[in-house]
Amino acid sequence: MTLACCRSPFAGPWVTAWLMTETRAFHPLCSVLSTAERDRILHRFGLGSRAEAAFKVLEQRRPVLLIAATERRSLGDILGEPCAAVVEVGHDGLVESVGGDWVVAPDADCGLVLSLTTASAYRLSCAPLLCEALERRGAMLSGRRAAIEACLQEAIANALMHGNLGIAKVPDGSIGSYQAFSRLVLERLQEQRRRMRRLEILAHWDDSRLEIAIADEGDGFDAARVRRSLDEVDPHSHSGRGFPMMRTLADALDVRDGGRCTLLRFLACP
Amino acid sequence: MEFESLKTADTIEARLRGRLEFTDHDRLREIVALLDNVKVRRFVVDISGLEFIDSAGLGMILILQEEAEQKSIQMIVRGPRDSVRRSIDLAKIGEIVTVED
Repeated sequence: MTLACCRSPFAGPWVTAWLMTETRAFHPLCSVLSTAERDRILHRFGLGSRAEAAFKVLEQRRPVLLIAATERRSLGDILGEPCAAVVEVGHDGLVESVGGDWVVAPDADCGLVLSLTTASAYRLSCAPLLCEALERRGAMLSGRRAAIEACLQEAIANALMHGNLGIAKVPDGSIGSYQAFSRLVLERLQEQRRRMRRLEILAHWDDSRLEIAIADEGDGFDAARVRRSLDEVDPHSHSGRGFPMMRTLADALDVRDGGRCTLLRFLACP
Repeated sequence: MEFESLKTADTIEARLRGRLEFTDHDRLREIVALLDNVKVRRFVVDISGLEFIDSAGLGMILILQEEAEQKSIQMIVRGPRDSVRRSIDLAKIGEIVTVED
């Protein structure tokens, strides 16, 4: 273990962190956030004023873990740590690559952030891993696991494919057009600027609800043009069911930041 | 998702297991290829080993159905359970594809 200086993920002044080979405990300094930056983050995730105090709590209570690119099993283990956030630092191992577009958990005891590069998130199937982490933290609502995992999966798929990889639409044609789509996905995953874009997931909860925000760094989309219910989907269509399924299974769904952030809310069963 | 195939006189069967999700698009061609150069009447997609399916996976099931139809082969999806069954019902896939328990 070595002591090193690294840049805050909030693109502010340099802070000091202990760096280890694989997992790095890292305490961001909340004070480096400008008011404008904090407002932007709060607006993006729809957290409002109740998250204000939590920025201060975070650095006092639980660490943020900075990780190198990891295998799925390792990520599952890391998410089991009593941390407030897990942030992948990128394949070059440089903390600087975390970048400035980042968020923190609203409450260190009742929140969790996962920030991965597109390359890792695509590879790791992180929806079930997050659900397992939420269960271990007592955040999973009784009887809602299947609905929560299904919604999380759809939101992550949209964020990666349509958002960060910039693929507008899954083809609705023959297997030939589907093969072309498959090649395009693999090509986009090779593009450095796309594969390093972030998928950020923020979960916070209390006894009565679980809220999850899924954010990407793509170009966004017009949420008004998305089909609202499964009844509007042609049964023969190969795509277009993601948002309608989320609207059916979640208690509330909101799209923010020009389509770059999907907010899901689930309530405890009465 | 992983799969294995079995062939009898008039049926070819693909047994899927694990998770069928949006990252499995490159596996679809391998399943479709099972229908190449075979003379069978039925194509059974056994999904009793699937633990999860997302909307992209449901779209793949529909593509398999269309490929089978084009070859005049009857496709049957067999054995969905738990969350996979719920997703199939939610998306009304049973209106398009023959689904057997």
